[in-house]
Order: sequence, then C-alpha cells, then structure tokens
Amino acid sequence: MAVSKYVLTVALFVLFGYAMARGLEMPFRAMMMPVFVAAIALPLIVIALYQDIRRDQKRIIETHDSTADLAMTDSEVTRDAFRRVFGFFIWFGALITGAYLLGFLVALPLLVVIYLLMNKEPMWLSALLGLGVLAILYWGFQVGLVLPLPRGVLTTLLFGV
Amino acid sequence: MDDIWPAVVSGLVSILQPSAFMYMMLGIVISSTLVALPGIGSKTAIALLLPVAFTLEKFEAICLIVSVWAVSNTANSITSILFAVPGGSGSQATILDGYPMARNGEAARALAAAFTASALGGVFGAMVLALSLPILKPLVIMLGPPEFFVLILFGIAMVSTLSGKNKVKGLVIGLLGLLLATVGVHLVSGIPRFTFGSLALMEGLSLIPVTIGLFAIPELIALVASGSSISKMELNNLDSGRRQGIKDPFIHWWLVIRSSLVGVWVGMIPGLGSSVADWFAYGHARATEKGAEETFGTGDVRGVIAVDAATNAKEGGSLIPTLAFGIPGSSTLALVFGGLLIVGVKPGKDILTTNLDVTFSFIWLLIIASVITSVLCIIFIKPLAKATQIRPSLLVPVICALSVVGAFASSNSYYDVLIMAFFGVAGYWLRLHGWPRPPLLLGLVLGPEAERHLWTSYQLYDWEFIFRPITGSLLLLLMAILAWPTVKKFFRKKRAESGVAHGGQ
Repeated sequence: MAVSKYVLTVALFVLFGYAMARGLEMPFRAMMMPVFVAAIALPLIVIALYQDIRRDQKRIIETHDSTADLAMTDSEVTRDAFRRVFGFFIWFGALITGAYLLGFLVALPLLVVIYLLMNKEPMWLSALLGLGVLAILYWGFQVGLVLPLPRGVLTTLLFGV
Repeated sequence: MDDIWPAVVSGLVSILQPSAFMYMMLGIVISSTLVALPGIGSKTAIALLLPVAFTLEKFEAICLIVSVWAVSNTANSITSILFAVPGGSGSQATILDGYPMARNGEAARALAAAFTASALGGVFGAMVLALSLPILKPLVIMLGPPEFFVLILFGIAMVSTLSGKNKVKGLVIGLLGLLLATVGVHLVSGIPRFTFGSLALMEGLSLIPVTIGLFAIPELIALVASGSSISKMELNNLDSGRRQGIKDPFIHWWLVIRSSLVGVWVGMIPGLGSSVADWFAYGHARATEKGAEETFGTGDVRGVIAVDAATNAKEGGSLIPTLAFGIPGSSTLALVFGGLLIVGVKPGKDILTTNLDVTFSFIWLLIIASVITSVLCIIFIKPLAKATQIRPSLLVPVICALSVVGAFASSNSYYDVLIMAFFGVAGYWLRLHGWPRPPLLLGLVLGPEAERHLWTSYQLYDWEFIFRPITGSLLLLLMAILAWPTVKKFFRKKRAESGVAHGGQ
C-alpha cells in the first residue's frame, strides 16, 4: 500500500514535469496553460509527498473521511477485498479485450453471464441477465440510438463483414 | 425585466412539449432507480445517460440531463431510513432520525415525509434561483475575461480544497484536470499537445469515457470489494403512515423554509456539497426546534424533514454560480455542465441574456421534476425499497457492460473504451490513496474555458490583468482561503507552545 501510494505521487510529479518540459517547447499561445498549471502543481506535489512521508514516519493512521469523495471503507482494504478487486480487474480486462475481438453484441452479454456464473448465481438468472444486456445493446443502442456497434476483429476475420 | 416573462413562458412550453416531457420522465425514473441501487451514484447515472442525450434535440437533452441530476437526492433517503446505510453523500444525516423511525414502525411515514420535504425543498431552491436572476444579470455583464478566468480558478480551488481532508492533493488533482483539458489540437495555434502522435487524442479527451472511468468503475470496484448487499432485512411497515408523512412537512412548514434556505446557501458556495448541506440543516433544526435536544436522534420526523428539504433546495442554489458564472460547484454539476456544453447550451452571459428561456426551462424542470419524483417515490416505496436489496454481483457486470457501450457511444470509437478503462484504474488508484477525484472532472470541464479566458485576458491587458480590481480581489480572497487553515494551525501551535512554556514556569 505504502509503495503504491508513493508510486502514484511520483507518477503525478513525472506527468506534470513532462507537461512543463514539453510545454516550454511549444509556441507561447499553446504553452500558456500547460506551463501555468504545471508550475503550480509541481511544488504542490512535493508538499504532498513530504506530508505523506511525515505521516508515515509519525505512523499517523488516516481516518476515512466520509464527507469527501467516495471514502474508502475498512472492508475495502482487507486482503480478501483486494483479491476480489484483482479478480474483477481480470474480468474487466477480458470484457474490454472481448469487445474488441468478438464484438460488443457477442462479448458483453457473454462476459456478463461468465461473471454471474463465477459468482455462483443460478444459471437461469445469469442467462436471463445476459439476454437482457443483449436486448439493451441491440434494441436500445443499435436500433434505438442508431449506434453501429462494432463486430470485433476476430468475428470479422472468421465470418467476413 | 420586460424580457423575463416571455422567457418564463417559453421555458415552460419547451419542457412541456410531449417528447421533452417524456425524456424528463425517463430521467426521473432512471435516476430514482439507479440512485436507489446500492453503490450507484448520480454521477454514474448521468455519465451512462449522456451518450443518449447527445442524440436528442436541445430541450429534450436538457430535460434528460437536468432531471437526472435534479432528483438524485430524493430516492437516496430510502437506504438511509430503512437500513441506516447512506444512499448518497446527502443522506447521511437522514439516518439519525429516519432509521429510528423505521425501527419504531414508522418507516412509511419517514419516507413519505422525506420525499415530500424533498419536493418542497426543490421548489424552494428553484424559486430562489428565479428570484436571483434579475440581480445576477447585470453582475455577469459587468465581468470580463480576466474575472471569469479567476472565477474558474476560484471554483476549482474551492472544490479541490473541500473534497477531501488533504487540500494539497485536491489542488493537484484540480490542476491535473486543467492539464488533461489541454490534450489535443490547440484550437488557436493548431498545435497538437500531449497527443503522442495518436490520432484518437487529437480531438482531446472526451468527457464521457473519462467520467465513466473515473466515477462509475471505482464505484463498481467498491461494490466488488465490499462483497455484500446492503441488507437482508425484511421490508415491513411500508404501508401505514404515508398520509401522516405527507402532512408532516406542511405542519412544520417554517422548518422546511429555514432548512431550504440553509440548503440554498450551501449550494451557492462551490465545493460545499450535499454532505455539508444535510449536516448543516440537521444541526440548525436541532439547535432551533422546540424540544429537539431530547427527541432528535430517537426518531423525530423534523430531523428527516430538515435534511431532505435542505439537500434538494441546494440544487437550485448550486445552479446560481453555474448558470451565471459558468462555475459548477460540484463534480456532478460539472458533469451536467459538460453535457449541456456538448448539446450547445453554454452557461454564463449567453444563458442570462439571449437564451433566458433555457434558464427558465431549468427552473421549471427543478420544480416539476422535484414534485413528480416525490409523488412517484411515495407511490412506489415498496419496489424502490426492494431495489436497494439487489445483490452487487448482479449489478456489477450489467453496469460494467453498459459503461463500455456508453464510453464507445460518445464518439463511436474503441479508443474511448480504452480511455474509460485507463481512467477506471486511475480512479481506483486515486481513491485508494485519498486523492479526491471530483476536482479532476471540474478541471477537465472548465479547462477549455479557462484557457480561452486566460489568452483573451493576456491579449487585452498583458499580465496586468491580475491587478484589475475585481480580479485582484478575487485572487487575494482565493489565497486567503487557501492559506487560512495553515495560518490557523500555525497560531494554534504557537499558542499551545506558549501555554506549555507558561505552565512550565
């Protein structure tokens, strides 16, 4: 957790540093905003990093702030929770790759069903929800909103356009 | 003043057109249902509906977007009252008296009172917004690009500092939003900025995939991580007491007005959201109502009424800086603002002068949508309460699939799905380490306007624009607000040290 926290802060520093460096190479009109923003952000990130280090050294436990954003709850930072999140990321990656390879109309309902079955939902309910998603995609988006949902690279290769 | 009455009528007629009215009803139903579902907030609801809005006529899109947002604080009282689980940031204080009422067998009364107070609060907020227009109009015309530039910075800084405990992190994320807004071809010079040679990034980052990624995906991850549904409680006592609940806010009408005023005031200040409005209103009611010290917290309906009136009145208040100065006071409103920009409605001078009918359509929407939502929520208490018990394992894959299509639909590009996925992971990472996400959205939405005003100000006045009276005063005020907590902490520490020194002697 601590390493991940510092990686994030350093990544933000690198990002703004890059923006500053690239911005300075641009004409004045184009550089104004990125340089202005990066010039303020860079020292602030250093302050944030210093605050994090100091907090860690003093072993101050941060309380979750319920008034801010969507606060992290204690149940979300357990080993079990991270394992579930990791599983979700794998499924999410498969969903996005599947949409590219198999097309939206095939991959999305299919992966919805897989997710439900993996979470021990009954077969009939999983199939019903999968069909529901297919109906929303087809009738709601493709027909209703006239949105041409792509067919996927693999299905196009196998079955033609 | 002469142009106001035709605009009032025109605004009402526009949203009462059958197709526009139908989209308002659709927005109300979807918003109330999605907000009632566990873990799905109003931002997710709006983000998922924005691709639909882009295909509509102007007033149809306004009806859909604004109604989804305007009523998002109504249905979230259900989980607070029935299960003591806040349905949203604005319904935390509802638990204090709503849940004890439910346990005392008065769940239906508490819910009906909350919904009725929400409607009254929403109407009150809209009225204040309408009354403020004659004052705002000359004020907005007086301001130029330098003032608007500083006002945008002011808005982002306020939201940044108020959306988390760590103000520095909030500011950095707000600035990150402004930086991300510069991605793409610079409209004035034609130079590609931070595109890494990718054609997909030439047009910049689309609002929809970023929003879905930043808010919907982390919320779904939170559902996955928590791994359980809200409650397996039996839904009893949802029939008797509704009538009394509807009457309660009218009996305590003076409390409704005062709480609504608190809500409007909180809404007008960028950064102070529903989570502040509900506690302020609850605190106010507890301090001023007769016998509240003894009864509040044990199931007093006045505690529920005060909170729900305030959180809904807040929406009218928050539209004042949004419509007048183009500064949305929260990330949800930033999303609404971004959606309106895309459908061709530009808050600021235009909307208060040449497009005044659009402003009044917002006001009418707040009034009509608030009332209709409350009536529907009262009628459909049971199905909505049941919706709160849906298992996350059923919701997550379906919402995720819709998120993928929603991201794709914004510009018919698979790159937007990848952008959504990237911001989904980034959003979760930011949330994990306490970096607030709302300022990023605000920066992204306001970035192009900020850059335009910065450039125009520079062209008109060189760098001296920062010394113009209003601009300079706003900058000083901004710095004072940002520095105040540190200064206060410093003096408190000094005082404590001197106290110890005196004690030692």
